Amino acid sequence: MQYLQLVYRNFKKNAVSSLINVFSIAIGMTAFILVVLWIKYELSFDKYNQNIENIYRVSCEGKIFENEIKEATTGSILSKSLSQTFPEIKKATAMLDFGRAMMSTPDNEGFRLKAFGATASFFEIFSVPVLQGDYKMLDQPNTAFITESAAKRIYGDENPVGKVLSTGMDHENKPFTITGIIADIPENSHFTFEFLFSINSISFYRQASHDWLNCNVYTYLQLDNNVNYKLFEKKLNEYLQTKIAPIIEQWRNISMSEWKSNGESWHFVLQPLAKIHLHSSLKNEAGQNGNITYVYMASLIGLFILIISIINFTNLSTVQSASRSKEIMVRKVTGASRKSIMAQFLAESIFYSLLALIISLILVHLFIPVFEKRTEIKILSRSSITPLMYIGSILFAIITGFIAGFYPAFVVSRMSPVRALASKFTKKAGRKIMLKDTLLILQFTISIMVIICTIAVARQLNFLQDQKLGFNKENIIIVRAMEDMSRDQQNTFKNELLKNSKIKMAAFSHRILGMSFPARTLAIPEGNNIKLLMLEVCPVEAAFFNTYEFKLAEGTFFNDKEVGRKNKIVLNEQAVKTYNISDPIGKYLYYSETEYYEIVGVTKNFHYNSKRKDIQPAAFVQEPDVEMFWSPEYLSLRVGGGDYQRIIESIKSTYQTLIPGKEFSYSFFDDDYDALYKNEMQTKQLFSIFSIIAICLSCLGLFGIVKYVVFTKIKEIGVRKVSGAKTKNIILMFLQAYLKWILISITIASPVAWYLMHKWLENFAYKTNLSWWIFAAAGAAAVLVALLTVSWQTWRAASRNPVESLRYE
Amino acid sequence: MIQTKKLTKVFRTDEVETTALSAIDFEVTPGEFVAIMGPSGCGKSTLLNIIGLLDNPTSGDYFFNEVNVARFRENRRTDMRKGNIGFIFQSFNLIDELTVFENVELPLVYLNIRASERKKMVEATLERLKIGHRRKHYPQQLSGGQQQRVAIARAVIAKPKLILADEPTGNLDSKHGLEVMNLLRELNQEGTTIIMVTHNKRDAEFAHRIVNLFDGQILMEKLG
Ligand SMILES: Nc1ncnc2c1ncn2[C@@H]1O[C@H](COP(=O)(O)OP(=O)(O)O)[C@@H](O)[C@H]1O
Ligand SMILES: [Mg+2]
Repeated sequence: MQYLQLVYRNFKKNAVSSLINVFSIAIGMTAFILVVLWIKYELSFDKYNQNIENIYRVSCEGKIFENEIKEATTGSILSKSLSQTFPEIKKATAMLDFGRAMMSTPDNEGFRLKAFGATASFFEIFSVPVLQGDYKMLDQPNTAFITESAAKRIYGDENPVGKVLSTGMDHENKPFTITGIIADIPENSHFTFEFLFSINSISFYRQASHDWLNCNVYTYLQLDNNVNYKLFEKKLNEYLQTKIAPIIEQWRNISMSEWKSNGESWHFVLQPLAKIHLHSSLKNEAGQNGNITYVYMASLIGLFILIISIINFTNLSTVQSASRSKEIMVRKVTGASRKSIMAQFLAESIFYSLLALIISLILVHLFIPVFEKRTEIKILSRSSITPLMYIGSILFAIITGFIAGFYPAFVVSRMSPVRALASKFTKKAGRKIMLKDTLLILQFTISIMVIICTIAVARQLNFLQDQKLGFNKENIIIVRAMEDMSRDQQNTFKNELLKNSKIKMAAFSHRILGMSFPARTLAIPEGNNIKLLMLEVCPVEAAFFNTYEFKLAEGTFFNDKEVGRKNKIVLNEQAVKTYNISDPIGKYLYYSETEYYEIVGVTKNFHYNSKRKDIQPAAFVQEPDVEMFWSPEYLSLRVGGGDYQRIIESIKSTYQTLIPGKEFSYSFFDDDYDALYKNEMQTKQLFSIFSIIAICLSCLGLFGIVKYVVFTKIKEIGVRKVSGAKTKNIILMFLQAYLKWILISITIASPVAWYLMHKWLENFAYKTNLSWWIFAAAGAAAVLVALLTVSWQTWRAASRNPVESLRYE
Repeated sequence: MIQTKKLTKVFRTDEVETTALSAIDFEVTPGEFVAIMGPSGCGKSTLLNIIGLLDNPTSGDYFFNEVNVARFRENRRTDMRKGNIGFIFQSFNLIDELTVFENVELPLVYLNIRASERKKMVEATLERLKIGHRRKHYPQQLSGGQQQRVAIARAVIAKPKLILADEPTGNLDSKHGLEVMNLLRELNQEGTTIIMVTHNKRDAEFAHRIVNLFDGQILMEKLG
């Protein structure tokens, strides 16, 4: 109690510097708490599942021809047959990502719902509560469940059970009867949907019996409690090999061992559910996954900021306590023990730290909405703020206060009452200097590391954005869901739109850039043999090239006027390189004995999928007659700028006069494309926010410690001045000393930062190098800040009258 | 050598004004040994600091070697001080982190004298003051008398014309105090002008002239 009173009086006496001190640590705590909340959110993914420990996703890994396969999906047969073969499997389900499906009500009202297909065992594996209806109904074809919020949106207060929604599936408008309502899928789930239909409604799933080598559905298994999943994975793969041998023999006419000696392979990998969100980035993930590297980096930055602010706090308190030497002297003379003085200083420090916690909790609550809006990172899930977190943060504040207060308390309590500041030059005094220097170097090192990492990350992210895409993504509007129109309607639609002078070009395509293209195997004769090519192929119209402004490496693009029997193909440079095709122009690629494409051109490489993965061999084809494959789903419009809203209104009205009652759906291509880099953008935002905080705190700390050191040297400055030193001499002397510390810090910080960034960059197929100037720039920044602070502080101390310095005792 | 006219110093702190010196007329000729006496707080140190160019007067004139330095800025005052004035303080004012040798060497460093030359000069001065054997020690390892001798060595190393001593024996016992006074007399006999502040009658006897200060004014002067 008595301590508290003293603490309060002291706070009042040094209000300004105490407040600076408290805010410095409050900012650090705020950043740290935000980072902890974000990490907690990232780690919470899929934890809503009670069986999380026993749930696994089966993914595929292998090599077919020259192509590396890393797929999140597997063949449909797995979930159907495995649970009958292996007693270790308690439950298995197949899930199909049907995308944002166009739904229509019986009276032709249309809207989109994120749809997934699954079997009833989905509900036995995942903890998604069924609010109404019997989950077993999901095994009946043409039934579906709808989430609570989607139901509310579509049907309001009406009961959705028994209502019918239809969507295009298996070349027909398939009706689904809603048999129940389920709870909304939590945000922190690696998949999410609003409409769950019975996967048995889809013909390919029903018919699948040998698709061991396909990738079309997600397979989730729930294993028995005591199963070692690594051993089970081995067992599963041994079984798999017996299943695929006949398929390989039939398909490729070679034996398993020949196939394997080609370097080709196929096996399954079991991914624990808890690891999917942060550790998996395969092809066809069910959603945008996180990245464990970011979690590591965020924790590192959070820790950095915390350490910096604790060091700041320590330094500032030491400065303050040094100026309170008189108070301590008096107290000691009047009989206070060293222990009680230490206790008082620790109490003060803990009090400040708790005060800082209160401020930072207020800041956290103020910041979270801003933070979530700016970065689109959800850090507060429904349950993340618990009483335990409050208790935890109070404990954390007490510990922080203790750590930060210990050094000043120790120094202050040691002051001898006779000579308050004139410490004896003994070994003990030497150690004190060492500790101060260590703090100084630590602070510089951390600041420099933060700056290096910030520059490197920013550079990589800019690099990804500025990298030659190989096409022009600006000023393109995409009209979606073109499959809702007949072929004639599509052409009328396009011709109508081109009458608008603002719309320069229009082209239909099956897919657009940024999506993955359907894979296709084609053959090219090579002497007596044939070579097989696996390409990602996108059927497009001739105008597609000019709409996106692709660049040709050789040959020509398609030509609308000669649409005839002959089908044409344009490869990308990667395809020519991977399959080593010499003089590609004029050669034929076969997809059956009588049907083939003629290679007419090769485009420069372009990025059509997230740049974190390599560019794959890809091709565009023009095959207007092959209806089964060629279904234009997108219309890309190059517009000449101007009032987008009006252009879109006019497109919409044209659309709705052609097919009334259908939902018109459009987007700006660059938005869609940039969304691919959402993760990187978020990291960039996160980094810029936290690195600015870290850099500001470092500067503040630097300022504090320089102030402290200069403070302890005031008498020396006076003595030197009396001995003839000019202000200039004094400043130079301090600069020299600091330059030494900075050089040591750069030497420590550079390799550590280099290693961290090197690890991080390994995530990218296209990366910048860590050039020397990043390290030089970080060092220069630190030197600059330090020099400015040092010069300013020493100038202030050195330029005043030497008498004032000498009076300092 | 030193001449002040209506020298006044007023300290303003937190709305309290202290007139430490009021209209002091004071003169010292080369080769003199002057003692300044007076009760605590009467402005002795303030006067010495202004004479030593460590501080500026609030008003009045101060001629140092015929130059009016009363309005000089700190950097010009430093130039004036350098090599011309040596200081001795009651509390020695040695730098704890430097050895005896380095402390004494300091004024020479700022006079840009070559290292080898410096070494010779420091050794000679240390020998003369009988602390040569302590050159590698740090100030805290010496007795008070030894520390004050180091401080005197530092004050005289650049052979200044003027030495200012602010209660040089104040922290010493009488035996060591006497040693210091003898040293000062020796320096004076070699031609150095000395102005010394003291409380001690016996020390004041060493001076040619005693100036009594009271409440910022010169009360009386008396020749020794
Ligand atoms: N820097 C200063 N700020 C405010 N008052 C001062 C300062 N220096 C001296 N004084 C005041 O001026 C008066 C004379 O001080 P000083 O010259 O140190 O006295 P003396 O040396 O004779 O004991 C005293 O009242 C003292 O409190
Ligand atoms: Mg005095």
